[in-house]
Amino acid sequence: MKRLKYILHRLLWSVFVLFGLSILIFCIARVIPGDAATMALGTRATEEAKELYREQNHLNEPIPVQYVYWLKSAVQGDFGQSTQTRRAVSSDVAEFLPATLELILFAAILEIVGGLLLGVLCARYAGSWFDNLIRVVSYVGISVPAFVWAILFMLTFSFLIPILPTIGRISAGITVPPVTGFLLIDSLIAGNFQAFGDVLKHLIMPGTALALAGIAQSARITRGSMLENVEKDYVGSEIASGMPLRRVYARYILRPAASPTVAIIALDIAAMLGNAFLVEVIYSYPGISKYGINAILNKDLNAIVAVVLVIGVTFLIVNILVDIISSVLDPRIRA
Amino acid sequence: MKEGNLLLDIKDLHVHYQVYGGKTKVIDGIDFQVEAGKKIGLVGESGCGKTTMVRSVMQVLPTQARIPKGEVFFDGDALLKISKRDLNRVRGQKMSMIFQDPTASLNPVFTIGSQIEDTIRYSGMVKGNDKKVIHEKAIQALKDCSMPDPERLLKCYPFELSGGMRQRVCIAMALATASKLMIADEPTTNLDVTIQDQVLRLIRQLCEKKNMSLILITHSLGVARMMTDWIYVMYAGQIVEKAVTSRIFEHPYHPYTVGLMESIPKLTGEGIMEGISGKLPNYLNPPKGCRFQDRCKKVMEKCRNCKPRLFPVEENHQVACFLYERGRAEDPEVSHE
Repeated sequence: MKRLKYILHRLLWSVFVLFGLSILIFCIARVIPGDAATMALGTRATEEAKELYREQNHLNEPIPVQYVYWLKSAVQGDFGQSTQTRRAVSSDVAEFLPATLELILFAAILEIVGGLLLGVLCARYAGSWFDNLIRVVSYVGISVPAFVWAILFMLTFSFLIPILPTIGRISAGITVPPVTGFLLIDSLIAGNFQAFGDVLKHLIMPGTALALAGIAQSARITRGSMLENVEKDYVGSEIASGMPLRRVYARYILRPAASPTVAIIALDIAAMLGNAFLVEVIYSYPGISKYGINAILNKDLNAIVAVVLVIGVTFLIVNILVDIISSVLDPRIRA
Repeated sequence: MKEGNLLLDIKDLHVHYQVYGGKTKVIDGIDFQVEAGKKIGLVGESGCGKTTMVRSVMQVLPTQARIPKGEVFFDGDALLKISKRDLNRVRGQKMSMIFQDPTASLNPVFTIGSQIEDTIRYSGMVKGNDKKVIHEKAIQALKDCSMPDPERLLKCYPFELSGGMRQRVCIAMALATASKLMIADEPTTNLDVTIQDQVLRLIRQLCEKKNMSLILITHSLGVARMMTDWIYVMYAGQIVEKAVTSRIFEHPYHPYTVGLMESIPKLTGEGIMEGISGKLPNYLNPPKGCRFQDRCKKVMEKCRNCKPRLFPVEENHQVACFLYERGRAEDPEVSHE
């Protein structure tokens, strides 16, 4: 009950945060240089046509007035037209967001499982060759950007040893009836396991490239945080009570040590929404990150605002989740 | 001591810590015996290796510790040699340890109940790990430590309890599974005086009730006198004197023990005690011969070169000092060895 109230409280505040974010990004989108009308209609459009476009889109009004126009239609679910795709921004988001979310969730699972597993193993065998190897390798993981991994993977697994598909979300010729937009889920709903496997194959390279830095970082943090706890008396007393070391590490050391890891992993996952851009470009993956960057490059005002809001909402949700998970993990936060 | 009655027998134990610049020889050839049902006090100043010694019995040493030499026999098992599984069985069922700091010796993110119950579960003393039986055992353990409202207590987290309560929970947890030996590493150092007394009485009473042996580490000679049958005095990783408690207070022999006793402030107000000057030797490079030589007022040439073993001075009283190499040299009424 107390927790439900807390979540509602947080959600209420989120509305204000999103409101502020929308004002901020609305202004920034209009301040960045470039003429939206020219970008929308092309350089060869006549001055009259551009003027008409500005008139229709209220671009001649002062920014606060423009914002009120935007807000009025936004609360009705209408975020305007995109100049790139010439479709409603809302339907673009509905199409591209699930693709990116699918990619990010795949990367997130890799990061959580890989990061925690490596971190726990390194802490358990601290100082061993395994620990040293992972520590050195994780420096490489952290310092090499995702797009380099993406290119390296593509070179290795699509060119040298062609075992994985290179581009897109799904192979041409395989179709899945759209229900949720998440192809993995849709293919399961349709009972099409061939499609499921195909989608999964398409996720492996971009997902891994995206997750590597996070795996390395979270493994290091988990390791450090666990080693801080290893020398505590309660660990001694748990070992002394005859509990097998495996259980002591997996339960009694990991849990008090997990809070910083959870926070880092969560923020990392939220940040992937923006960072996925280069990976999406390299693998021609039709995701929202790529859509957002193109919107900025083309001064596609409505699309920019919508994409940034989506990222904002994601951060807020992730933050609330982190708070909830942390309070479950550590009762001292609840009190 | 009679060999047949020995519960714990440590023989020539050495413990080293790997540190930057070499290894520190923290425990240097210790012999230590505990008879079944007896209470042993281990006294000595901070840093002299008391905790390291008992931790090597429990095998809960820090990762940088090594045991290059020595044997630990406990109730028929050679603890340094048996398999991990057997070791866990011994730890789970026969011996337990209470740590110094009650605020740090309970896991902060689990309830008291889940910790005690898990301890009982892994000790293997409940057949089939019946949840109900385990729960009842946990309740009983808390009741044994005269804790009020054990049902509610099991649902509490450690941070919701006071220091004294936490230490009693630790004792309950240790006693829930141990049946032969209890090791208490300065169990009252972080508690205030009135709670100290309660906790000590509780430990003594429970050990006597279950006829368990006790190793009590303490700084306080008063506590040692009240609680124990035998006292081992430790200095810089070596046992310098061991004796029946009543004897050692009557007549301490080793210059270090004498200094230790003299440094207890008297209530009669004779000013600040003299104490023992100097500090512990460097463990990285300990002096040849007796480790106490640099602080000893009665140091002789021999002390610089040879390491003294324990010499008997009376019945049930041994001292590692060349002053007593031939019995009580200063005291002619005792016959020579």
